[in-house]
Amino acid sequence: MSDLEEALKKGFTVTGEVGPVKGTSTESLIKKTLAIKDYVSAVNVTDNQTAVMRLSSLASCLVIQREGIETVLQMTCRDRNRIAMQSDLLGAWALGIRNVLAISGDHQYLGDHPQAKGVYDIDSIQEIAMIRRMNEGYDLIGNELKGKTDYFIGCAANPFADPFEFRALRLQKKVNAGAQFVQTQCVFDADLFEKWMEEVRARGLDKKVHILAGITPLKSARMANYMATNVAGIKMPKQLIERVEKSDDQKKTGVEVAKELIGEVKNIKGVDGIHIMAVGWERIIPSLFD
Amino acid sequence: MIVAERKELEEIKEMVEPYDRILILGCNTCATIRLYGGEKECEKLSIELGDVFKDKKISYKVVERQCEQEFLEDEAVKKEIEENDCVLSMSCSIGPQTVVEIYPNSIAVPAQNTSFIGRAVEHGIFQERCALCGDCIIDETFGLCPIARCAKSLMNGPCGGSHDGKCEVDPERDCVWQLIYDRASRLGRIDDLLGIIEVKDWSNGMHGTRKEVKHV
Repeated sequence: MSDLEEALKKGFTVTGEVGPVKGTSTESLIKKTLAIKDYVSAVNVTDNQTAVMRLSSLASCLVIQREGIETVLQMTCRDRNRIAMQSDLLGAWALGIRNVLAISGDHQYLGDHPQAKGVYDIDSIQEIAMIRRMNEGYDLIGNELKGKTDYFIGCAANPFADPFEFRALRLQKKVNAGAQFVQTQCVFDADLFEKWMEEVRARGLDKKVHILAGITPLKSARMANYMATNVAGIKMPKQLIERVEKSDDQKKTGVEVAKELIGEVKNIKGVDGIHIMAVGWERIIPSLFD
Repeated sequence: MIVAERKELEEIKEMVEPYDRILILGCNTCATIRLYGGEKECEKLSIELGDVFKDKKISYKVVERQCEQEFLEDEAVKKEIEENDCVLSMSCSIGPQTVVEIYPNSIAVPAQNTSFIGRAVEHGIFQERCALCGDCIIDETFGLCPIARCAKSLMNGPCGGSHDGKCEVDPERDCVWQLIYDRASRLGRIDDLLGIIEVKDWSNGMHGTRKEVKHV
């Protein structure tokens, strides 16, 4: 059992996230990891996030695990076909990765290589089912594996994207496919998140999957505005943006807001933890737990 | 219908530059109906090229369908193709390929970027409806194709980028999974979408196997 699974079985769990850089330098990766190490059960490592080409998620995971902390390997469907995905998943397991997050990935057109051919051979739900099969000892077409994986399988969910009514149903599909934990998109509107959780509970999913609510501390009003307008599927209440805008110390207010949100989601039935996506502001994470 | 978009004049100029006698070859079927390679468009391009290349002989001719051998083997067409150095095809990319298969000594270049097969959603506006994947699943998606119409070809969408019914990649583009959801909802069959669509067999598509259909 992975450390992350064990932590989730024990109680409220905190995970973090770091993004590799473009290049071979691992310095910032290690620095960010060390900044959050004592506060999280696992570190999620993004896979060419926002479709910008960077150091690979698998290599970054290995670098991070050397620092004594477990990772969650993100694997998108954007850049690999089913052969490459399974091959990398076998390799990652053999090298000590124990958690994987299956996601479709940001579209290549939105990244720094918009001319690239997207792969999307399989989608994230099919990827989850494929990993479950590998955990059972078989590849996608039923060939037996010499040495199987035993991944703790994660997925993403965006409670705030459209169509809202479909969102819990889609999580149900992921759970049916084999997802064991879920990281949600950043929560800025706890009421709307609770509305989604109601649907999730109505489908009994809170009993079947560990739910980690996404938390992003806002560094500035500029960042809040950027996220509200440019990041798909982010719902940010106007009052929240105004509150940060009017603040004399926007960073401090950002931390306050994040702490309040953590308090609110903690009280929502069915939420098992939080997933902190600090997007470059990892050193602030300790102050979220003061 | 097959939908294509004419290449920029600059690119066409580069393609035909080495040749003295250029035959612009139009097509009377998709290319005419879809307004990219019929008689009118051939005439327009011949004038544009004539302005640039004063010393070249530029003519045009339109055939019924460039995808069918019999229309390209027509005596008058044969004569023109053989009398020119280069065929500049105004059809979809089937046209220039058929020309060189029938006339191995000929040079044929495309004036179009063949884009998709689709339908006219309103007059003069065409949208993709099929990606020619060779493994149709629209029975499971209420008659709408997510392979052609979802930016990520998600078989179990929508992704987290669906916003107000539009796609995060292109805000003008409908999110097909929103449309699928709407149809399921209208028909009272939302729970049908709980079924997981399995991984696709792409081998019938553009991934290595022979694509040939025999109607004999």
